[in-house]
Amino acid sequence: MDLSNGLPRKELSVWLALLLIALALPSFSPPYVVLSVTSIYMYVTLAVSWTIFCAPTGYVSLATATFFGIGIYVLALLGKTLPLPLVIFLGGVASLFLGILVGLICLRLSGFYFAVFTFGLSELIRNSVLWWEHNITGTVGRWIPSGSAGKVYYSMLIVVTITVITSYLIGRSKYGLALKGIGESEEASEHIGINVTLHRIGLFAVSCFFMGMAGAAMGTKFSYIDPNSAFSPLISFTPVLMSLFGGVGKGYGPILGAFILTFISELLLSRFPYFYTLIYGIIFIVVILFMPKGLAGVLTRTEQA
Amino acid sequence: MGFLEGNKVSKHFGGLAAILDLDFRVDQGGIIGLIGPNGAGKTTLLNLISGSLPPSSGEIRFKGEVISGLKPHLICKKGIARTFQSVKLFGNITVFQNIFLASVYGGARDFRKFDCKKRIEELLEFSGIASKSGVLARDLRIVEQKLVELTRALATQPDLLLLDEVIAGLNPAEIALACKMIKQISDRGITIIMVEHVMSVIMSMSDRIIVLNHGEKIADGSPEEISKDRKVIETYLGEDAPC
Repeated sequence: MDLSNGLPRKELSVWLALLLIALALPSFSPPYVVLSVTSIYMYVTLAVSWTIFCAPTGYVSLATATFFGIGIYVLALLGKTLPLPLVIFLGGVASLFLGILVGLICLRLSGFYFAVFTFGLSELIRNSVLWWEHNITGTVGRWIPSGSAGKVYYSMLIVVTITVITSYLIGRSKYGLALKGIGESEEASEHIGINVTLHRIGLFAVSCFFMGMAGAAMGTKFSYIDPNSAFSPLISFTPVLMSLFGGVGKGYGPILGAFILTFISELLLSRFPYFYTLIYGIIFIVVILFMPKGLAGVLTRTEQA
Repeated sequence: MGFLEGNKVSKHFGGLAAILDLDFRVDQGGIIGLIGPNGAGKTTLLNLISGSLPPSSGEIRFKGEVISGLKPHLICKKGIARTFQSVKLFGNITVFQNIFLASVYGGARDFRKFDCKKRIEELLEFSGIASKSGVLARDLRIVEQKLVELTRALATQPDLLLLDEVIAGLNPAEIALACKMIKQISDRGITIIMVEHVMSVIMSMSDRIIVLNHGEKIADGSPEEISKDRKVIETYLGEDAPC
């Protein structure tokens, strides 16, 4: 049920305009730009789905790579036999189920232990797949059916749009409010009738669903994957950095953060291939020290001033 | 069949018995005061009834159903609400949203969407905090926070309300205000069990008082009986009890 007024018409038209530009982009841009924008969409999806769960509950998940990688592997296994939209959906479903399982096991842990657990989990899965490929199938990595740049672009655009809209709707629903309540006082929440465990696991699974879809959609960009790239720890950490950079207090924070940081890293990577991570790191330290609420926090302050 | 019944309820923390083989029975209606020295097990008892803690042994029945061992959110749906010794509001959302959450989740029994807003406004009116509806809960004064917490508990449509030191930390005028509200809640037919340390308040508000000491019931009766009880005077009230 809505408690606040709907999205202001002005904001809505900005979003619609962005969507129109996004739809038309491949027709007037060189392939390089299309590919870069595709990875921006990927990081926006990951950052937003990470924030769906982690911002209201205060839990820090470091298992994004796991759910993303599951999506890629679903594509690798089923991509040749099933149509792409179905594969992307199944990539999400596989992550959703793993998310429920992980949730049942470890959402009883308190925040700090949860972060360590999820990180351990993602390393465990990466190494298990590596071991499996090495010892059982006797291969390293797999070929995946790849799509054209346009196909990857539009798949990713659809995934990111669904993710952002869902995140917005959850934030406005009674579930979103209940989750904020749980984040503030678990005890008070359960005593007013909120099923804390169910809400947490449900939300965690939803956020995993989008990560899995992102993996399956993005996988078509690579023609070959191996566990080290599919489950790379960087995929777990980057969305966290992006969300914090953008600010998790506002819905558009993670979108902005993912957008700008992906853009910056693409730029740095091409201009300063040797100093790329160094500059990236410095930017991040500065943000954490001077903008604890991220870009969104700074923007809100300027608005109020 | 009693309204709320405890049968040989015990709660151990390690080797320490916070509640020991406690039998109790509360009938519907009225205000029941729960008193006793620090560490007597008052808050533990409220935690056991509301489901924050499972009892180590024994069982608690509410309206004939065994509720001990149930999760708090289920106990809430059965009609038991509570407040906390230190206020536990959702600080970063508005007062209205605090009450809203309680009424959609706790009062799900006859929840109808379109009534919801009106009902919340009535509740806020009833508690005298209607003007604070849009304020973030953390920005309220302590007495207002306590009133919001009471209102939030009410919004779950309870039959039994457990109050843990609602008036602690309030000044005399605020105490009077809170007491008036508690009386009004009781007049609505909601049974109240309140833990309180201010004797004058507990004596004047309660219809019946239960006294705990070291997890055991040492007295149970009307305020007059309690104030004359030898054991209670020795362990808790002291010789010149303020009543």
